This record gives sequence, structure tokens and C-alpha cells, in this order.
Amino acid sequence: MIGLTPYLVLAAILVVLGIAIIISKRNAIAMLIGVEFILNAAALNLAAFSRHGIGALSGQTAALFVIVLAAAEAVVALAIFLNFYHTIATVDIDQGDQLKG
Amino acid sequence: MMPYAFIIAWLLPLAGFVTLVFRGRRIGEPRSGYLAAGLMVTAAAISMVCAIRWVVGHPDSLNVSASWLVIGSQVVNFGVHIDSLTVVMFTMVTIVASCIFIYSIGYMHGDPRFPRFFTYMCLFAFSMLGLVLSDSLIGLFVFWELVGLCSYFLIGFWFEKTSASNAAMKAFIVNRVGDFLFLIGIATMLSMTGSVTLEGVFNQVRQGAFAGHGALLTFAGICLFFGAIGKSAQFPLHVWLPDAMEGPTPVSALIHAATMVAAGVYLVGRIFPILTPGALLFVAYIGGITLIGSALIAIVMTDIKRVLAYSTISQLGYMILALGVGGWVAGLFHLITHACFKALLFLGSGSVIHGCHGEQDIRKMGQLHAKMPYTSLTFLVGTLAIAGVPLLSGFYSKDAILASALGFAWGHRAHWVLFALPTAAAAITAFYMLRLYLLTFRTTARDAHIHEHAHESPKVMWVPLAVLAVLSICIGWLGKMPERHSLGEGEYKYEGGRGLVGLIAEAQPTWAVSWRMQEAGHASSHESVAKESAHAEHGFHTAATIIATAAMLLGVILAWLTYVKGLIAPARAAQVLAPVHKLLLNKFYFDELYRATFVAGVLQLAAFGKWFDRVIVDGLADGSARWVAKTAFFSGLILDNRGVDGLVNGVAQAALVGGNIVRRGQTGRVRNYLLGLTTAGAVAVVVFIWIW
Repeated sequence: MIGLTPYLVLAAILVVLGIAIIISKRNAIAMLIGVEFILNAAALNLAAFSRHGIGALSGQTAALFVIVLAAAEAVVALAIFLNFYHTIATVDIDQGDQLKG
Repeated sequence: MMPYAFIIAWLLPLAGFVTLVFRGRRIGEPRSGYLAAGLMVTAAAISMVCAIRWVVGHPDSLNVSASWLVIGSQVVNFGVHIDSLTVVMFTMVTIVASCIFIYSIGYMHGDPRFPRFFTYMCLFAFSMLGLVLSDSLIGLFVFWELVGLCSYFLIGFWFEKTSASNAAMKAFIVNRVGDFLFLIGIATMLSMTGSVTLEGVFNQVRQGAFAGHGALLTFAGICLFFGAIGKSAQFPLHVWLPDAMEGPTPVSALIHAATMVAAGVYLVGRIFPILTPGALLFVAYIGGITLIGSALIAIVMTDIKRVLAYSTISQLGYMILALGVGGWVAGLFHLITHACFKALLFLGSGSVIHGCHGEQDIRKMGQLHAKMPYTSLTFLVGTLAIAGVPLLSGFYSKDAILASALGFAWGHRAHWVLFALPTAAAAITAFYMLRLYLLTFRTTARDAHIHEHAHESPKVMWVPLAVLAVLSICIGWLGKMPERHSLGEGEYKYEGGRGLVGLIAEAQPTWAVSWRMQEAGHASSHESVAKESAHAEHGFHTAATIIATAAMLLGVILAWLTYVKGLIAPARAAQVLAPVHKLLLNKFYFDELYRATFVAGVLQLAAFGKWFDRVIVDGLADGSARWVAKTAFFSGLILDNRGVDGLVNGVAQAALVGGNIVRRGQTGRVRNYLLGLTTAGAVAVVVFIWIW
């Protein structure tokens, strides 16, 4: 049986990747993918801790919630991006500075 | 009814004044004169009717009074007091003023300010009559100042001439000195007796308001007398009167000879009962010094009006001396007779000046009798009257004065000079008046040009002269001094007076401080003293008549020898007596003395005041202004601009700078925030692990 550490290392790599994507990408869709990375890293951690820790299914349940949450989040975010695209004809986040004081 | 008749007569000139003030220029030249003269003649007629009724009816005195001012509990009444002296004075003033008003219509003919002249004259007549009628010291003082003001207006009537405006100022300022002391005297009376009416003051004094303060009463009397010194041009305040001759001649006649200057004598007559023997002696000596000094100056004067001016001062000195030696009736009688003949002489001199086209120097006249007979004749009457030729009015009054002076000198041997001075002055008076007459109207014509063009004045001018000449001759006739009967305690009664003298004597005070003090000084009973003095007075009268006539004759003969016979050459006499002549020509250097002391002193004071103002007061003001400016500069530019503004701007600047710094982090870019967030998270984890 694989130990806890590889899971955690994978999750850490995923989190760092997600953050790196969000920071470096200007495309809104790409940033959304970065967010998915982070969410999934969290879900992976939850499942891994559940499996090697308490033993109950609470971690897996939380992971399921995270998946649902990610889906909901993606829906909302995409709706925002669609509106964004409607307004300024691009999904480049840096162009969205019309509220800038 | 009678006081009201007098009040109406008094208000007539005021009506003239008010009318002329507002409508004078519209009324125009001849008519404003007619108006003023008409009102004055009406007033004279009313007062003459009243005077006749007074003589026939012989009422005592009449008083009308109304409260005028209330100061705290002190009520100042403004009232009219009429006794026989008031009646005589009132009638004299109105008659003389009428003559002069009529004369002025001719004299002022062609003057551009003709209506204004009559405006002032009306105001003067009103004030003078008010002064005569007034029953209180305050009322007297008010009208006293009013006549002084009119005098100022009229002396400076031709104010284009610097000498005239200077003379007006001189008269006013010199009078102020006297008036100031007069006011102190009134204040002393008010504070000691609580009354300002003459009657109230007398009653209080009689009841001992000054008991234990004899010196204060003397002081108050002398202060009041100083008012008279100023107004009646007595030594040492006589300097204004000769200069006052710069005014038009009718003014000189009315104000500076007949009426206003007599106000001082009238005042002394009114306050006589409260004058102590000491004050009276002071009065007498002032009169004595004045009468001899000015008579001497009159000898050398060459300006016709100035000779008359000094003669006026001298005659006023006579009156003052008479009052000082207790010759109350004599002094006031001389006041009346003098008013007539001095007005006549002044109007005569005005007529001469008019006829000679403005020439006033008697050295350039001569032989004018043929050219102006009426003026010459009336002038001669005036000259003889003032010289004291028997049967003319001046003779009687001067005689009475000399009798009083002799009586006094007899009783007080140490003061013999009080008789010697008026006697000597009587001779001098006769001399200089004849000199004036002879040089002007007789002898040879010394300036052919003036003589050729001289002409008699119009009827409107010589008729008043004739009226005054008749008065100068007649008013002394049938007079008889009343007998004095002592009632004890300084109280007397009089009986058996007749004529003008008798009428004046009716108003004589029946009680006086000096009399009571004199009686207290005598060991014997007052009964015998009174009897003695009554006898003595009679004796003195005869002696005085003889002495006065002799003195007059001496003067006349001397003038005759000098100017008609030519036995004494005036030029040679002047050479022999060069120092005296020079002293007299310079009027005893009084003007120079005053200029060197008072005028220079005042100028010094003014210069000091100017320096003080410029350096100290202005320095203080400038210094504080400079200080304020500096402070303002500091507080404005430094404190406010740099301090307060700096603080406010500094806060704003700090906010701006801080904002600019902080805004750099606020990019609005999610990835920047995220980078910051993760960096912070990472640092936190590292620190957390490291601490752990």
C-alpha cells in the first residue's frame, strides 16, 4: 500500500502548479483551470488523510463536496467570464480594469 | 405790564437779527438798514415811554423770572430784573443804538456786506439789552459772552484786512482771560451761596454765607471784577480796545465806546454790595492806573480813532475808580453821560473819516470846520462835554466822581493818589481832546489834497450827531444827588434825588458789605459817622467842582497855547521829552510785553506741543504701527503661511505621498494579490516551522 507522503507531495505539486497558473496566465479560462488544480489538490488531500487517518468516509464525502463545489464555481465563473467577454470582447483579465478608481 | 414792554423792546432787535440772518441778502442794501434802524427806534420809543412812566409812577423794582435750567436740585432761573438803573441803561442803549443804526445806513453805504453789518448790530443790541435786563450772574454771563461774540464779528467785519482780523482775535482772546476769572467768581458765588441771582447772592452774603471767609469774598469779588477788566478794557487787559478800532466806525461808537465796554462798569455797579473794602480798593487802583495811563497815551496818538479809543479807556477808568471809592451813583452817572458824548465823538470821527475818504491821521487834516460845519459843531460839543466844561453833561458826572474820590482820599489819607490821578487826568483829558479837535477842524489845512476833497456827510449821518449832541448837553441838567441816611448795619436809604442822577441813585444798593465793615471799624455810633460823611460829601462837592474846573481850564489853556497860539511847539516838546514821548508812542510797551511773555509763551508751548505731537505721540503711534506691521508680517508670512498652512499642507502632502506609495500595491490585478497572498502564506509557514 502506498503511503501518505506521495499523496501529499502530489497535492503540494498541484497546489503550486495551480497558483503558478493563476499568477502567470492572463487568460480567464486558464486561470479557472488553475483554480481547479488547487481545488483538486485539496480534495486529494482530504481523501488521502481520510484513508490513512480516521478511517471514516468523512474525507471522501468532503472530497465529493469539493467536486460539486468546483463544478458550481466553474459555472458561476464561466457565467461571469461570458459577461466579461460580452462587455469588452476578450477574456484577458488585465483588460478588466474599467472599475479602476 | 411794564416788564413785558421792556421784554418786547428787548426782543425787537432779535426779530431783526433773525429776519436779516435768513432774508438779509434778499432784503438788500438800503432796506435791511431801514428794517434794523426801524426796529431799534421802535424799541427806543417803547423804552422811553416806559422810562417816563417809571419816573412818574416811581415803582420799586420789577422781577419776572422763569426756570431755565434744573441741575440736580439747583434751579437756574432766567429772569428779568428792572429797577431804575435798568430803565436808564435800557433807554440809553436803545437811544444811542438808534442814532448809530441810522448813522450806519449812511456810513456803510456801498459796503458789499451791508445787510450782514445790520445783522450783527441787531444781535449786539439784543445781547446788550439782555445783559442790562438780566437778574442773575448766569444770565449776565450769557449775554456778556454774546456781546463779546458780536464784538468779535464786528471788529473783524472787514476781515480782508489782516489787521482787522487780528484785532478781532486779540479782542476775543484778551476778553477770554477776564471772562475766565468772571466764571470762577460766579462759581465761587454759586458754591458759597447756592444762588446765582443777584438778589439771592446779596441776601445770602448778608445773612453771612461768607462768615469767616472774608478773604474768599474778596477773592470772588476780584474775580468777578476781572470780567469787567476784560470787557471795560482796564489795565492790564486794556490792550484790545485800541486795536478794536479796526472795525467800522459805527461799531467803535456803539460797542467800543458807548455800550459794550460800559457793561463792565455796569457789572461792577451790580455786584457792588458784595465787594469787600479790599476788593473795592483793588477796583479803585485799577481804575486809577488805567485812567492816567491811557490819558497820557492819548496825547501822542495821531489816529483820530485811536485818540478816542484811549480816551474811552481813560473814561472807563474814571467810572471804575468812582465805583471803587464808593461813588456808585457818580460812576454809573458818568457811564450814561459818557455813552452819549463818546458815541457822538466816535460818530463825528466817522463822519470826518467818511468826509476825508478814509483818512484817519489827524496830522493830515486841519481846517475842516469850513468843509463840514455840522460835524465840527457836534464834535466840539462832545469835546467840551468830555473835557468837563460846566453845564455840559460830562461836567456833572466827572464832578461827582472827583467828589467821591476826594471824599475817599480824605477819609483814607494813605490813598491820596486816588484823588490826584483823576484830577491830573481831568487836565490831560481836556488837553488831548482839544488837541484832537483843533488839529482836525481848526488850525491850518496841512494836506491840501485831503482838504480840497473833504465834504460834509449826508443828512442821515449828521442828524444822529445832532441828537446825540443835544443829549450830551442836556442829560446832566437838574440833577441832584440824594441825601444818604444811615439805618445801621451797613444799610442806607436815599432821599431827595432829582434828575438823571436821582433816577440812577434810586437803584443804588441800600446795603453793602463794605459799608457794614466800615461801620464796624468805627468806634463811634454809625449815626454820627453818617452825619459826618453827609456833611463832608457836601463840602467835597464844592471843592471838587472848583478843582475839576481848574484842572479842565489848565488843559484847555495849554492846548490853546500849543495849537492856536503856537507858543509851545509840539515837535520841540516831543524832542525835549524824547524818552517819555517814545514810551507813550509805544503805549508803555504793553503790546511788546505781552508779545514777549504771553504770546511768545503760548507760541513756545505750541512749539513744544508740536514737537511732543510729532515726536512722542506720533512716535508712539508710528512705533506701535510698525510693531503691529512686524507682528503681522511674522504671524502672516511666517506663522500662518509656514506654520499653520505648512501643517495643513503637510498633512495633505503626507496623505498624498502615502497614498501614492500604497497605491502601487493596489494594481487591481488578481495575480498580484495572489502572489502577495501566497508569498505571505509561504513566509508564514516557513516562520511557523522555524519557530516550531
